[in-house]
Amino acid sequence: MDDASIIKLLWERDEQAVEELKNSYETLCFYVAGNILSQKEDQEECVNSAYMDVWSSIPPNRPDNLKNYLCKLVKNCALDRQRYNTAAKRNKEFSVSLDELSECVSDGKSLEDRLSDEQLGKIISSFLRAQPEKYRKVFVRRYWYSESIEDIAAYFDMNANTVATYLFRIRKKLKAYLQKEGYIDE
Amino acid sequence: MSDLKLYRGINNIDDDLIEEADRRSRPVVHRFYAFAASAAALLITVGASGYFSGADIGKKTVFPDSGIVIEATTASGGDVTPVTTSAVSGGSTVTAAVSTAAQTAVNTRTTALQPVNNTITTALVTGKAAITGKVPAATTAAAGGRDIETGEPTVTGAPAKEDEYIIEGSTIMKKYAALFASLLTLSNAAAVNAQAGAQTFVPKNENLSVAMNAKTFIEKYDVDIDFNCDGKFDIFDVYAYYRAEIREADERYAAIPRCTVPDYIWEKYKAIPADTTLDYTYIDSETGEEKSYTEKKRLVHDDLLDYYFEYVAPPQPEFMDTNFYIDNCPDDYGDPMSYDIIRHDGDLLSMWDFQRTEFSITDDGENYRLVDRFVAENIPSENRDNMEYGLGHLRGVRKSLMHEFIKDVRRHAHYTGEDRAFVKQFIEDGRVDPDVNADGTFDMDDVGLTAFYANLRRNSEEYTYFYSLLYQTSVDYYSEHMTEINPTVSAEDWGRAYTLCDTLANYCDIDNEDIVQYLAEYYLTYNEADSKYFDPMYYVDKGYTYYRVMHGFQGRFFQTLGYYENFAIKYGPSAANNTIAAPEGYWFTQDEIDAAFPQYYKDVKTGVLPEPDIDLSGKIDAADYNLLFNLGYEAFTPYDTSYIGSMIRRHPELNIVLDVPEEVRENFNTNYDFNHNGISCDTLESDCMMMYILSELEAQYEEEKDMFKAMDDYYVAHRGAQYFEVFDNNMEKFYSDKGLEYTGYMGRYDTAPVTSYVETIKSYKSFPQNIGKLTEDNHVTGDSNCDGKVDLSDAILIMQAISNPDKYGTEGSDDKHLTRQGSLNGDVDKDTEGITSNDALMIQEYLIGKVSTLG
Repeated sequence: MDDASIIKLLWERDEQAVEELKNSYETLCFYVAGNILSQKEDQEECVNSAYMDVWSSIPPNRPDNLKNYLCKLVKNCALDRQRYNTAAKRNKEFSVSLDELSECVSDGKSLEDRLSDEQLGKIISSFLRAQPEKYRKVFVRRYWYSESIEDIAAYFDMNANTVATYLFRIRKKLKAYLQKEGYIDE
Repeated sequence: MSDLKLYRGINNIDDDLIEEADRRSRPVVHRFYAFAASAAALLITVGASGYFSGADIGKKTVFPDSGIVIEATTASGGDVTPVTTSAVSGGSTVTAAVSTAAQTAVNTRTTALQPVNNTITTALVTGKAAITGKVPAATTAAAGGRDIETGEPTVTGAPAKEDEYIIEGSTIMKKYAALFASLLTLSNAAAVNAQAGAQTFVPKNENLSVAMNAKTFIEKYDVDIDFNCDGKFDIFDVYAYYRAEIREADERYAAIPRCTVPDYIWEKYKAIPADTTLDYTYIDSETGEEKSYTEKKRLVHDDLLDYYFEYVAPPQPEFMDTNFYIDNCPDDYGDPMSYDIIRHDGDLLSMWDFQRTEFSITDDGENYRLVDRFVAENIPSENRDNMEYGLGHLRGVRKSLMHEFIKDVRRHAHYTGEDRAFVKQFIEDGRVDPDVNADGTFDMDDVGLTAFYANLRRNSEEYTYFYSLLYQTSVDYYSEHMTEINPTVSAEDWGRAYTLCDTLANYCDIDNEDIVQYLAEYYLTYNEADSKYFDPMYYVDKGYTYYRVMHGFQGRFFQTLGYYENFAIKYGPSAANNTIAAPEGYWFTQDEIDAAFPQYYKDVKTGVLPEPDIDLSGKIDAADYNLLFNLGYEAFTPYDTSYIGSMIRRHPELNIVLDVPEEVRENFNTNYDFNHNGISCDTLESDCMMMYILSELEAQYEEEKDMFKAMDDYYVAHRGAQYFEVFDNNMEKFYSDKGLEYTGYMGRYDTAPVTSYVETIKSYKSFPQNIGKLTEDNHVTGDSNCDGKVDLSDAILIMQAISNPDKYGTEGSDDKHLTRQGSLNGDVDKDTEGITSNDALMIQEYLIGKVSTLG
């Protein structure tokens, strides 16, 4: 069933919508959750929670891209869950990518504490649009799709060292951008 | 801003950016390599620094328990006196006859190993110069490296190419290393100590690093860990912390809180600093070194468990018992259900009772009764609400938080390996009876029977459903299956095995097969075992080896008797009198192999070492891989702890001699001793060569399936050289001679040989491959014939491919046709896509100096 039909069912409050959601995106949802959480139980909780959140938020929302909408919900839940997990339970690859992002930020208070996740998303989108396509794609696959460097290299037919170099450069640029725009301290 | 906040922001980027990244397109990368005209002057090092230098190789001799079988020779001084042990019930003593005859390897490889010397001329891949005579050592000039910012290589001249080979080799190694990692794992398997003499098996704490980091955190922030304010730190403080975590999560996400937490605990919990950055140390599991890193950290109850078990007290069995918490916990968490419905009878809590009491349900919001999980999860949707966090939102159902905590305790106790001690304790104080066959003694017959049971039952993960009231338990299962499987096993035997495993499973975070391992290790530590117990056929004769592939069950105990044989030699009562002797050089650690490969790859590419042309055909093809694979098994298996190794050692008629030409066997046995340990094609050398061959085959085939087809074709045409097929045939005859029905040996999958071969190869691939796909990062610009240099023959081949594609094109019939790699290399004219006459022209212009660079 296509996304528009699923959204229609959601608006009609037909529970079949959740079944259709599962049929279409369950594998993807577990993939997304699995990139952050290593425990199957945690993944299941997040995926189930995301289905409920979709049911609760549509209507009134009517997302243009149901897949991404659902994946974002799964990821948010997984990120919350990951916070409480020990190193033994974490997905090691996710921990590594999180450590990479820590290079872009610094401690200390600044205006960005008042930014919502959505606002920050817009800011980062604006930054990414100004980057070369190849860098943009690699960045998104690493930090949105939570893929390993090796998988990204295979996906784009690149050398793993090149992927790492791309990520290193774009993180530096992102940090400079956020500092320049005043979202993090110098 | 925290990194997690940034991550959340990234999670909310615009949809079109997410979609864009989902479309595969290869970013264009331009790389330029400048080669001096003397690129053909290869820099070769022989016998200099590097992994194959010989004497100072620094290789450790490690004999993992899942590796080779060691030989135990009784020290001079007489016979070993068997140790007796009392059975748990009856008080009778058991004396096992000692039999420690060394097993003779039945497959003797030639011992007349010739040291490798580069005076041997081998038929190498076309285009490469054969190495004859000693090559003088030369110094490798320092290469330029890469510019960090631009990513462009700054190397010039031949030395850069050698560094490229190292990088290339590293990439290939990472791609294939998982192929050759050990597939046989055992729960916290006894580590090997090659020293002679009595050894005590000491399990290692798998979470030691976490415990160390928790200690660092507690000390740095001076955390008051007496969370329940009773004047001491014990398991109830960890439980209190866990409950506080639940409350915090509920305040953020749950409509109805699952429990309450006393204020005195809550205040202490809230005082713990969050989002701290600390320098942590951890123990490298491979090297044992202490290393450090920096991480943002929040203390969680799992950390406290590890801390407790490492620095305060080891895990105790009562920590896994709900009665212990009901009767002793000093704090009230406002759980809605009465604990009377959870309390169990008897001294020990079985897994059955644990699972049975995990869920409860209420109809009136006040009175709870136990409910089967299977039933709970199938409540119709109209009866569901958002009451329970994460449990599919089932109306009125509560999942016991006490049970959840105990699951974590069980898991962390298992990490320490101390749960083995529970098995010993329960057996010796009589709380469990391991005499499953009720013959008055506990011995390996009981272990075998328990293994038979474990092989047929699901593991503890699936106890979740298996113990559902809707699925009746062991008696029904037995009556449903046992009469046809093994009529010698009585219902009482089955029930005793069930009871034993059911009890131990609650205290050890392991499945039934692991319980069998613990039982065997316990027995072998304190008892001499007759060698018959290490013969797989012993259990076949008892009818225990019924193999039904169900959720991956393959009867691990019966496959790993070699491990137990080793264990008995090293840790048994006679260990002090055993001198451990092991053959040299057959086994290397994965780290050693991974470290060796890039250098090996470079040495082959630069002509220092010959290519692994095992079949002496003059080219690298599927035959080389196949022969290396199978001859390797033929050589190593008699020494290893695998099922096949155990069978061959005890039943020489099963010995495998592959049908390969004598000169090929001689080549394998003599010409590939790169590390100069006197053994050609030891595991390090074989693994390196196989990785090399695979990488070469990748370049030869456009599609992965074509490569596999080539492997399949060779397999089918040379069945007598396929190790597992020959063993299978030998086993069939072996069984037939004994009048037994043969249904396949342990570990064999019921697929046709060709398919199983391909699947064997495929099963080793643990991550996506781009077989046949090429990258621009690892090629020699202009080298269309892939001989490592740029000369007129490259231009000629391009012209041939254009004028006669049927013969010289990428799908051409000629042996020296243009390959995909070659076409990528030869595409030097970037103004036109693909191979054209302009590429040939540009190569010629480069050779005469009219252009200074290619690409």
